[in-house]
Amino acid sequence: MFKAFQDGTESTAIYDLTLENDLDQVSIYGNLQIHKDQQGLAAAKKLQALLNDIVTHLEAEADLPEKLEYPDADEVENPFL
Amino acid sequence: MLSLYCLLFFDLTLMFNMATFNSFSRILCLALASAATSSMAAANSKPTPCLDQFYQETAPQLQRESLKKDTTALCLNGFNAMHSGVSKTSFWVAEYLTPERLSVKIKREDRFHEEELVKGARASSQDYRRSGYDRGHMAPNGDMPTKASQYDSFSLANMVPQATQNNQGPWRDLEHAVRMMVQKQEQDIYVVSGPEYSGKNIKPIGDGKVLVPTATYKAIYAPHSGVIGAYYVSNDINEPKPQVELLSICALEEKIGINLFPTLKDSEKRKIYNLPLKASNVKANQAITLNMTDTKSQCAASVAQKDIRATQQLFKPSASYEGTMAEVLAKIEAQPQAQQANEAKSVEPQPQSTESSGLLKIIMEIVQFLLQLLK
Repeated sequence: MFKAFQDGTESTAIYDLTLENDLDQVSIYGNLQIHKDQQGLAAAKKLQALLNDIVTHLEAEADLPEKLEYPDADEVENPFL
Repeated sequence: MLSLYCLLFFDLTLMFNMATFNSFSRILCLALASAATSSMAAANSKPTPCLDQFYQETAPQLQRESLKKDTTALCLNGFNAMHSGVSKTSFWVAEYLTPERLSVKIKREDRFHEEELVKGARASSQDYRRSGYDRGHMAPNGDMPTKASQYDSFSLANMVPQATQNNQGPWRDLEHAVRMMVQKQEQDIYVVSGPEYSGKNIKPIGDGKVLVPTATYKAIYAPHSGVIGAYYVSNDINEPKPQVELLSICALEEKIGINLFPTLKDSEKRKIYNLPLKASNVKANQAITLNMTDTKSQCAASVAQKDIRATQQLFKPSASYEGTMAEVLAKIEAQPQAQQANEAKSVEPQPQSTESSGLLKIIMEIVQFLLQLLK
């Protein structure tokens, strides 16, 4: 599993759950069934490890903003008309 | 040559007023024609590197003049793309999906990266950072059967800035639906995906100014069943639930200024089938039906043979190209410890060339015999 918010280019999966890393965010999407079996335990541990890593990193962050702002870039003329 | 034999035979039967021979000759001519086409197809059945991802080895053709500036044709593992140094995305990404290709399971793990084969302006990871947009795959990494093709699918040349609700919602669903159409209904499908840039103004992201599409499309053609049409999804970041529209290939071509399948007839391109939006909509024994024919849209202009050939020449394997999909799958099959799931299918043999040329020989002999009779 990648280190959350470091490097920022990785993508991995836990079955059908996709996990993507970036410097400012971690994306988690898709779906995951955690069955009451060894495989379910392994999947849950993987997910837990990533979430723990995210929480640790965010808690250690000085000046964590309330909400990240996404700069609205000025539009340009469509060059493909 | 075969058609001459046919005509001669037909004329002779008419001349000698041989009614029975006449109908027989008609059947014979049809048989000859189909044997000829299949033997020709069989003769060309060894796929050309790179071009195997295109329907009839014919690439989509950029037709609107404004698209043609600063483009790079890319032959990557598992797909081809036409990259634009203006948008820093590709205009189209083409893949050839087969049940065999999709039966190979590999670990879904990789890295987004800049495309080294693009020497000019291109997107960087930095451009996508803090942009509010996802790095949205055009050719899905779930379609890739090898590490090399999966790596290439994470090239930024295969990405567009995609609204999260599109990328993680309906786009993801229709990627799965397309794979299900291939696997569950056991048919090959040619897929061309890409961005649409419409409207007076376009939003850029990053210092590199990667242009955000107004919509993303995924055009499909299944030659065996004839299923054809295009998914079209709005890429509006403010839209919480983007809807998927189903368009004809012609309607899409009119929007984007690209001839997506230059060898397909307009009559085919006007058809819209009931394409499934989710994998669960695909049933093994239920053919996908025709919804309607689009009589309104302006289909793309036809492409001259010389232009088709010129575009074909642009797609050349790079140093990291591992081979045509057929070669790659054969290698996987040959491995003692294949990284496949239990349901991996065996490589389909290619008996077509021997079968149809044998049939052709028999038919030719019959024709010659009958011509002798008539003399």
